[in-house]
Amino acid sequence: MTERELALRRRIVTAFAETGEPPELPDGPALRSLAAQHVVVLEQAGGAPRIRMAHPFAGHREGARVDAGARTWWGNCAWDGLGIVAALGLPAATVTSHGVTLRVEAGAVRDDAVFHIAVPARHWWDDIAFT
Amino acid sequence: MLLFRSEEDVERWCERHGRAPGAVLGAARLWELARRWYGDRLDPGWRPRSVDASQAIFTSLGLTGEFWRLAG
Repeated sequence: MTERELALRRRIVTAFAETGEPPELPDGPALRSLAAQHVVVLEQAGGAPRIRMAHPFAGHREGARVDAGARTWWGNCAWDGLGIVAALGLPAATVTSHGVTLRVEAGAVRDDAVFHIAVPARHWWDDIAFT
Repeated sequence: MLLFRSEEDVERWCERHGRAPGAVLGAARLWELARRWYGDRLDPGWRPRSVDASQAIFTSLGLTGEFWRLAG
């Protein structure tokens, strides 16, 4: 990964962390390279690409919702939602996915749940929207 | 990848969707996986992790075997 690509990726995840939303970016070779390396997943929105995923963050609303105080972020699944809590170092948060909520407090998860992975790991990127 | 309240709910989902059961993790192990997998994603010096390093995270949590093999 080039320094230019690393800087662009940094800009993307920082925007997600600060706003809960993907940044609007012009199309270009660095963005396309990040997509080819599975660092981001793009979708077309009008004439421009939009960032749908920059793991653990999600630009869509179909995965996991992370709430802490008055702030909200979105992950692609509960794994990613908990990953957002870890990456942001949130002292307390809830992660809600598929109608199930997990509370994280003081560095531990406080609820029971079962996370099901349907697809073997080496096939996750065959269709990253269904794993 | 979906979150359920119980293994029975997982079994019902698999039956309803005609899918063989995959792998399941409890919440505590999922949290540990999330911490180890994503905890550094906002670090200024972040660099992509190798496949071997990612595989080592799975192994450190007892996630071994064919289902968890990332490459090849």
